Amino acid sequence: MTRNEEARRSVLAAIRRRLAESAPHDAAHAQRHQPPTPADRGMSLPVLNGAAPSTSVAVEPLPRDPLERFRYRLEAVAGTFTLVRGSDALVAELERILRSAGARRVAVSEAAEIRAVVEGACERAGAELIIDASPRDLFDCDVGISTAQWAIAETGTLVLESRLERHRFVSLIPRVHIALLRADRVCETLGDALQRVRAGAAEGEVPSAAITLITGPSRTSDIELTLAIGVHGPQELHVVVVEPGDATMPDATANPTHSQPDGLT
Amino acid sequence: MSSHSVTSRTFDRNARAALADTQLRGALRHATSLFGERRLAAIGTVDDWEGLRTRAREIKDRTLAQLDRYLEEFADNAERAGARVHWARDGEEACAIIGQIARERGVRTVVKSKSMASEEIHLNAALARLGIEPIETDLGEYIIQLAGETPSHIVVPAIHKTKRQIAELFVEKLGIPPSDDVATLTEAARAALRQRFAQADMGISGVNFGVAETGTILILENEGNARLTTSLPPVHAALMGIEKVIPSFQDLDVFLKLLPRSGTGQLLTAYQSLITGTRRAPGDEGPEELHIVLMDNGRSRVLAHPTTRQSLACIRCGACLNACPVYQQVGGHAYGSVYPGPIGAVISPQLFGLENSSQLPYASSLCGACRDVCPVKIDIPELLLHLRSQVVEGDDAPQAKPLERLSFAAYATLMERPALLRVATGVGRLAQRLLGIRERVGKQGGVTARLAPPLGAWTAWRDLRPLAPRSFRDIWRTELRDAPPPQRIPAGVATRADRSGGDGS
Repeated sequence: MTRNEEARRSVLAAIRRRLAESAPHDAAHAQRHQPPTPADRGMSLPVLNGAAPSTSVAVEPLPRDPLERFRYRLEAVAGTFTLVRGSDALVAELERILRSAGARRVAVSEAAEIRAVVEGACERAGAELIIDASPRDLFDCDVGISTAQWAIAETGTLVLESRLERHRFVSLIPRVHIALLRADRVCETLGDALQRVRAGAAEGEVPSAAITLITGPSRTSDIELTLAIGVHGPQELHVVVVEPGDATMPDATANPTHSQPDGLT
Repeated sequence: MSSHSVTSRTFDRNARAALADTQLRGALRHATSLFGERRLAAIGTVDDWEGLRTRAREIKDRTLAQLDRYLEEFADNAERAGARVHWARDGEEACAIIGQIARERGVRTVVKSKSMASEEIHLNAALARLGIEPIETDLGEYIIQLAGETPSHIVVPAIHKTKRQIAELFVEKLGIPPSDDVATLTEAARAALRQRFAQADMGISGVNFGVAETGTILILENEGNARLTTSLPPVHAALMGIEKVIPSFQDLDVFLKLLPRSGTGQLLTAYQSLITGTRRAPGDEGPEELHIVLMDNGRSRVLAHPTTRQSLACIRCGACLNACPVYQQVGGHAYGSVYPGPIGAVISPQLFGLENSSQLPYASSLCGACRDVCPVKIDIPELLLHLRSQVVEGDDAPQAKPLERLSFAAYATLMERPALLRVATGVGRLAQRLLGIRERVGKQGGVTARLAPPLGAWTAWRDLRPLAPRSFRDIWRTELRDAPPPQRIPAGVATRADRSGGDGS
């Protein structure tokens, strides 16, 4: 028996032995920790410091439209949001962001469909486009452009799946990350998004090797709890949302070799 | 506070030193109140926070009750997806496994993202003995690594340091010009660490959740250093306590709602990395090898009783630290253990032995604030009492045990014999009158007189309440039993209890 097999058996045996030891105490403990009935609550002491009812916090009314709600949450975490229609508008918007970022070297994910758009924008903004950038190349790039497969309205989050967006380093290493998202890929909640990435893997298949959830630019509060944006990841996150039905925008979730969920938000 | 004599055996001394440190206490007050406010605002965005906590605890309880089964399922699925799963009975074995992986791959430079489990087993020191230099890449961890210190908070490791101290450290270690601008300091760390990431042969991370159903590991962070650590170097080793497993992918929804809100008051941290095995095609990003080290290190022992088992439900959010009136005053280092605060006071004795931490279960006023904020409803006061009873019954009881025994035996004798109690209180009243002790003395209307040692240990911090001039039994017998029922006291009329300022015990 190898060391690892031996350790596996030993850990599992220890767990089983201890759980068996616990069995006689479990029922009594469960009874003591019954969820309180309304009558109990009436008699209980006031809750200190903590589990206050949500009414104690003034909650702003949130936009009803999921895309607008996504925008609201994204902007709250210092991301930017623009909605464009048509390839000309998309190129113009990319050019605007590249110029304002002072982009000199731009890395792009390999998604062939967006390359034409990005090439156009780089040309107009006078930036060099780096194709198939290695991580080392990326350390010298100002801007990375990727797609996002999903967005989450509840939290202002982007979801990148390695199965469909192989180049997640462009979303991490350069100072500025621009993500292209289809407007019809916004999920209402985190739970919905998890369900979709799980369903995206065919029956019996494992999910994407890497699923990355991105909520705003990189941040830290490790020094005196003062917020600093852009510590190891990007300082800026720009989400450019493309209206559905636009032929110039790739279906970032489409992949001919995999089955796709339908009935999207 | 970085003194080497700080251990969990000496909480009393550590705490006294911390209380004298006004800078530390200012920083703690700022941090814990800010986190408290942010947390309240963030949980307000969830419709049914209580229900969510209950669900999370149910999931954890269900998993822990069948931990063997879920671990096997997790390990099998992770391996099916291309990971290599290693089992470690204790910290030493976990360190040896990771050291072995590094040796086999000829690793020289290791980048590390924040992992409390690795702190628990002193992984950095173990790797240093093999000539490998692990670089902490979380900004807070990097700061304390440069300073040669240990974390003082689960979520914000360098909470005890001022930006001025950090600036001095960076001037000395990184050679930057002096600056007290947080953005400049952050930028300096980013630049220094980018070099390290580019060179690294191996990345080491912890794990927040392991999904049994898919073999996925999930890591939460805000900086991006964990993304780099887990995807840039050719080898990734993830150290995972066996309690981190949850049954299904969808369960992540519950915990991802609870953890960032409780920890930092965010709806989600900036990044979540969900990693399922290794890269699938040669051109893909991500490491060639993924090693997951499943570590027991005392955790299975804690399964043996439902009271102790609940401490394995902890998701390391740090909310109980921020809410704790003891932590708020003394900070993390006083606990002398990698796990500070209320959860540390219960985890450390259980994982590292009560004999090494017998003071920690007493580092609490049992106010219950930790239980109220805990996102997985761990009854920390119950656990503290459980551990206190073990301290008292164990061979390593710290205080004068025979005397304590004697006192409680005497107390029990009195309380079980009403006649004897009457006589004893009568004697007490007489003595009180003779000594001229009146009722309104002292801070809380009691007697401040110090009793002689060893009873002085009690009166050093508390007033001794005098006996009432007449006992209730006496008043009942002579006046109340046959009297008509009393009138309700109209509102606005001060009662005696109001004036005397409450109990004061």
